[in-house]
Amino acid sequence: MLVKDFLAQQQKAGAHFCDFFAERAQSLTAEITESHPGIYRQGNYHGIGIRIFKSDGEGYYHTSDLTPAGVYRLAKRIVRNDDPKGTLSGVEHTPVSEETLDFWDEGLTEIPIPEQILGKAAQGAFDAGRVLRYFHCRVWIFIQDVKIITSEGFDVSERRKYLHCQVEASLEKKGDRCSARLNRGACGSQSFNPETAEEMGRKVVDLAEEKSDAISLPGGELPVILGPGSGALLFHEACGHPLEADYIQKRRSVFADLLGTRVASQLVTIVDDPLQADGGVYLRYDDEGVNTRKRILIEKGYLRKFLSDRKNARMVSGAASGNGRRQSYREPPLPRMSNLLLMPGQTPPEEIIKETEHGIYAQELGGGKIDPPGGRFIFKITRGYEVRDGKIGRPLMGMLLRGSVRNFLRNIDRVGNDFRLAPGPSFCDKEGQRIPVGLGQPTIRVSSMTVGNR
Amino acid sequence: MDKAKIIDICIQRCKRDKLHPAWIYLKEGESVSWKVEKGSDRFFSIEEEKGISLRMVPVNGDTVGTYTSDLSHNALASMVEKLKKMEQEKPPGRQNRSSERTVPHSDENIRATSGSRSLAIFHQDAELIGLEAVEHFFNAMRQTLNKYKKYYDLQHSFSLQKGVHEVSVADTAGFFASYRSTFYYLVLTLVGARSGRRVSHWTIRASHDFESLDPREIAASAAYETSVSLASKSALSGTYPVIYAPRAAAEFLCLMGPSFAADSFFKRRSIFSGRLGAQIASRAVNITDQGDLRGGLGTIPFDAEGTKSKTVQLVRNGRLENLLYDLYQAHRLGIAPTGNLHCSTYREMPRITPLNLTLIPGQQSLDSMVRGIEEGFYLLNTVNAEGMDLLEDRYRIVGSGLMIRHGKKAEPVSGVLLNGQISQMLQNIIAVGPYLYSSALPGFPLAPAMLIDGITLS
Repeated sequence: MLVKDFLAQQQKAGAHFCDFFAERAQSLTAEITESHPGIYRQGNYHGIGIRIFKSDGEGYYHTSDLTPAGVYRLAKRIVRNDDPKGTLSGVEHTPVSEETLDFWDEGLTEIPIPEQILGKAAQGAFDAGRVLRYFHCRVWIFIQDVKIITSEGFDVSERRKYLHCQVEASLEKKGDRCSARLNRGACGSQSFNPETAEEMGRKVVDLAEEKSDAISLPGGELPVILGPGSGALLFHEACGHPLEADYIQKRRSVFADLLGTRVASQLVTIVDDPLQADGGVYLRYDDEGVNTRKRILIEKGYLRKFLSDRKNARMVSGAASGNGRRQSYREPPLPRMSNLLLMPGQTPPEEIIKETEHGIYAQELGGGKIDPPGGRFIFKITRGYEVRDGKIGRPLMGMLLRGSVRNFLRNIDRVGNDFRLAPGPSFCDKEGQRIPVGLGQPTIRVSSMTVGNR
Repeated sequence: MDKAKIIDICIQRCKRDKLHPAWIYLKEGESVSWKVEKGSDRFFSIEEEKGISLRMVPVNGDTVGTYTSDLSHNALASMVEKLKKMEQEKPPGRQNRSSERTVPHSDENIRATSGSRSLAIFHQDAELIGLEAVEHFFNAMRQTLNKYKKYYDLQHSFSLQKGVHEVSVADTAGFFASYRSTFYYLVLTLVGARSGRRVSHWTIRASHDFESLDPREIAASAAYETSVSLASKSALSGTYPVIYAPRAAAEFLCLMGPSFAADSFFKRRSIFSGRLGAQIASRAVNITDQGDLRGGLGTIPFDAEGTKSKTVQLVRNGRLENLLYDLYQAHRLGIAPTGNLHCSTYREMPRITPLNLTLIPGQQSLDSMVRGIEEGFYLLNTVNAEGMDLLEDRYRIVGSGLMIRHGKKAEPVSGVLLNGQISQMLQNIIAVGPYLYSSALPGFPLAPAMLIDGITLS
């Protein structure tokens, strides 16, 4: 049975919207740990998911069995779940062919083992005979083909490609264990050359060594400068997630009821741009077949738009913003970010540092946690420095940033003109679904944040 | 195609291409889920998934693997072909490559017996649990939660999933066995609000049978923990004794679990690296891994290499006695594997993973622990700020719980940052409680309450 016919049949049976999502993905993972054997793995999976909205709720059905019999069984379960005696019109017998149904415009691609990337990363790390306690490099390459058909007539296909490289090193110095980790990558047609991996290998060891000289500062309220690029992780977690329409609709966000009001300093303009060519992701369509485009979420401090999928858009803002994304065919879409960017301001970054008498410069942030309903967050600074008398000083160890979303956004008093994208895709988890996202921001200063060292 | 034929095609192809030894992992599963949010917002889902993976540990110790969800003859042949190509074309990658010999298949003493078996008691088809039973279950939770609404504003959403899966493992030496298992997962999300403060709280419970999930008990404990998280922010600062409630203790154990894996240990990724035989914790600490625990949530009859699951004493009276081994790591040392090479889907490479990792209960009751503390903290809920950094031996989490004053539980506090060195915290475990909590966290760790002295709180 043709997909479009089946969706039409569901609409006749009372569905007000249904869609079909087919996915085929190939991945390759290669990892090495110094002086220990490596792990190399590649493979592919495929599957389809069918989502049906009715007045009494939402149903989602999916299978990895793409033989005619497997797809027929799924269709039968959908029909019978709604009406135990229901039948699939036009199909009388279970098809028996073992052939897999093909939804794809392009064939599978050969993914070669990224030999040079692994080799160069190790070469960079062990350059100049440095002795490490631990070294690890992992490269992940993922190619995803999707096809989306909806009851509203959308029929779109897209191929998405990602490469992610993580290098980690640990060493012992002055009796302390110091470690560092770097993530870089590429998406779509962007390239990732082995020299980048070599530089990552070298830099990750430098960063681990730097930590051995790191100091702790007493906790308290201090001005915090967030460096360009990766510092945007804080915006992603503390600002992006609470702007997702499912949290708004369930009133589990600090931004619920605040559309059109001032929520941040007037220096703050935040956009979600899935079409950013150098971003961590590049999406022409979201996973519901909606055309994507750049959306202004906060404009000069005023809340303008939420990130919505089809389901939540009707209840929150009217039209879907093209942010319905999912990890795979196994999950229904959720409102998610693509490339969340804080737009540049006017101030040169050197001036921001120079104007700060005593504070903290956070170059990179690590793991963090936000509670969207309460808006409180906590983040680890993985690479940070003391700022003294307008100059970047000694490296800091183990500092944490704590605060509330509202205060954080209102206390931004400087936005630099040095906008930078974080290199390659980062990964975002929500409700058990992990997807690639992009981050970007210039140097910014928050006039006061709670900083803790323990 | 049935599973025996699928596996036979792979084995014959591997043998023809001299891909030996090789292991096959086939997983077939289906599940059904219900979710209710904001009263009328309902979600229902049916899932079916099948897939197969193939893995080799060839001559130099590198592991190569392939997988596919396409179980047609051509796709299986292509998967084997790809493995052959990877085996031949592995990159040099780094210096100091190992020159290990080929890993042999496990011998009869440690290998599970071929054949199929059932793991859990209930083996209905995924659809057999009816909507009526689910509605009844959700209503019981709703009624319990409503009682708490007079104390604070409370929103809830529930989801319940029933999954049935069958795992088959085979190798090129003729082993072929499978097991079938049923799981229920319940996720309860609460959002509480009081005096302008809002917090969310998640509870996840797992079980092999529906009847052992008690909706009233789950809802009541989640509502209580949410109310504690709504307490005012802590002004604590200093070093205190901390009692970990069993759930928080299970989280601690879960975060530490990877350190017991032999590969992490030898790659110096473990906090215990180089300390086998050493006193890594206080004498109150006994830890076992119980892959064969009767009725355990993490129990499996054999691992992804066909090795029988068993109980391994990892820490005895604080001394690190053993590690968890797959065939490769065990073979390097000339010892027996422990049956811990595990994966939850065919899309993942199997890894050495603890199963039913258990902090063995002690004698001291929770009340007696509390009575012995002049000023301290009882940790109920945790928010993972950083968790454990196993490379840097550091532990930092944010939690909420109750103050302990003069031997009694006192006012609730939230936003407490607990900070410590993992190795030092293990040495400072003073007492372990008598009742085990079975957690739905990865690997399904089990832990009683524990009392740790000298944790820095702020």
